[in-house]
Amino acid sequence: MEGAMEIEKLDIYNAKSGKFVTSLYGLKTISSILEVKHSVNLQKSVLKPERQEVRLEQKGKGLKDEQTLGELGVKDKDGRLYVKDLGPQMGWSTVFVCEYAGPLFIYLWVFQRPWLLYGDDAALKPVSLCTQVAAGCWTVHYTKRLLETKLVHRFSHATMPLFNLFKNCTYYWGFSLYVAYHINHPLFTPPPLYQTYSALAMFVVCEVGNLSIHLALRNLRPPGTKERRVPYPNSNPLTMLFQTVSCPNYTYEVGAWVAFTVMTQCIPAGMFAVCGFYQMAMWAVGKHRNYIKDFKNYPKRKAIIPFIL
Amino acid sequence: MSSKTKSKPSDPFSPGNVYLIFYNVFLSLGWLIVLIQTVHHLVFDLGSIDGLWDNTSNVLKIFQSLAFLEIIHSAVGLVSSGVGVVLPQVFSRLTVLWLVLASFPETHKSIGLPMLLIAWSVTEVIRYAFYFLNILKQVPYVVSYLRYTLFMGLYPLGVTGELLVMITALPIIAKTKAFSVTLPNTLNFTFDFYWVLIIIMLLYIPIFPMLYLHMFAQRKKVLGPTHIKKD
Repeated sequence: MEGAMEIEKLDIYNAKSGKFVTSLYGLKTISSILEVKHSVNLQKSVLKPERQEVRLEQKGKGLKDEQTLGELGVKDKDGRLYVKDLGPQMGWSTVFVCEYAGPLFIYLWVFQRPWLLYGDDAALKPVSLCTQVAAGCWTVHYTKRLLETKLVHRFSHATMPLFNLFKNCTYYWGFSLYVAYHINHPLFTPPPLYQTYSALAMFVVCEVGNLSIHLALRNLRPPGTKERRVPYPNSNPLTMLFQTVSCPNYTYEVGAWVAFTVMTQCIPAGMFAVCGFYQMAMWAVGKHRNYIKDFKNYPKRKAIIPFIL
Repeated sequence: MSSKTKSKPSDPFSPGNVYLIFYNVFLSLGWLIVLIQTVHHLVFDLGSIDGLWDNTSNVLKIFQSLAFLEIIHSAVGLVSSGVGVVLPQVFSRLTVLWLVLASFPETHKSIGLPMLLIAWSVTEVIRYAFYFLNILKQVPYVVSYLRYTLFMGLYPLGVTGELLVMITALPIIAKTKAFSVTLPNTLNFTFDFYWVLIIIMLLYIPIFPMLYLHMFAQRKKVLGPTHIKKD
């Protein structure tokens, strides 16, 4: 019967060490990589399917869950696949909640002028309007992110490595404390009010723009699927940025942090913006490349900064 | 210091190598002056630290500062050692020299000063000599032996000296807020040299054993019993 031949024995090797791990029996040519992962998991209970990456070659690319052994040309005799252990995995939404709830709590704690950071009586000293506006913006930004994680985002990968949680939390929590310490300091010098207000306007536009892009991306991916399509502007004018860049969500995000920096005229906030821009530019360039690779006739766009990068 | 100069293939008289020969001879001699000044002071003043800085600092400043060229040498590929190895070494030396010793006279009375002067100058005289002889492929066994043996005592001696000098400076920095930026300022920025120096000192804990063990590995490679002269 075509397409459903039995694969007598499939040997699994460790992609890191090259050592033999186990043999799988009873798979068919129509079995998917996901089924292979489940079979491996049956024999190696630590290796949950999410923490496995299956490869054809020891140093090859990770195969997709939907690919079948038949279409990959795995031989029905002496077939061999490599499995890489990606380490303990966490659900994406758990990770994001940790990453974003931290900055929210840390910032609002520092906003109270705790004696631990500023000494006694600091809480009694006046708080500038700029400092209050900044706290509002910070709160709105991270509340929005938390809600988006729960309600808007559909993740194409279910999990991420546990190590990333530590790395990302250190980055977000550390920077939150660093930025909050300066802006909420009793000796903070606010810039002129017109500067704060015009930057606030830019911040609001960028936040709404960022949300618009996330909603547009959500509607691009039908529920419960991993399907990918080319994103285009929709009826929302803020999604027009899709005409010039592949990742306008990052463009808006960077814009929001530049606005925050101008609003507070605070170098540590600027450092946060620069680091964020660097990271997002890397991601954007990667996604942009994938779009070009995966879609023929992908429209001419830049990755993150219109006409430049 | 563990960086290793590899002469460019074959020609010791290519422009790059001629420059490196001059550079290394110059620095070797410069550090020899520092060594002589240090020993001279310690011998004639019967081990007193008083005035040691005044007798050595002028030459020391010049030749230690010239070490920043080594970062450029490795960055442009003139020597084979990686920027990642050279940069922290030169950076820590320059920090100790300019931001600690040259900035806080109180540190000149520290026992750390003669310790680092001896460790730095002996190491550097031999290291730079080794480099230029290596370009000419004329390294006598004695020089290799000293380079890969003396570090066992000199490296810990130097590190101890550097740490002692930094510890002496800490209370003064805490009091004077030297090199620090405090609020209020219009850019709402702070910089606390006191804590930066403490972090630098803490970085010695992971970095020192790494470099020290690296030198032992190099020693085994260069002086080991299986070593047969190649080329």
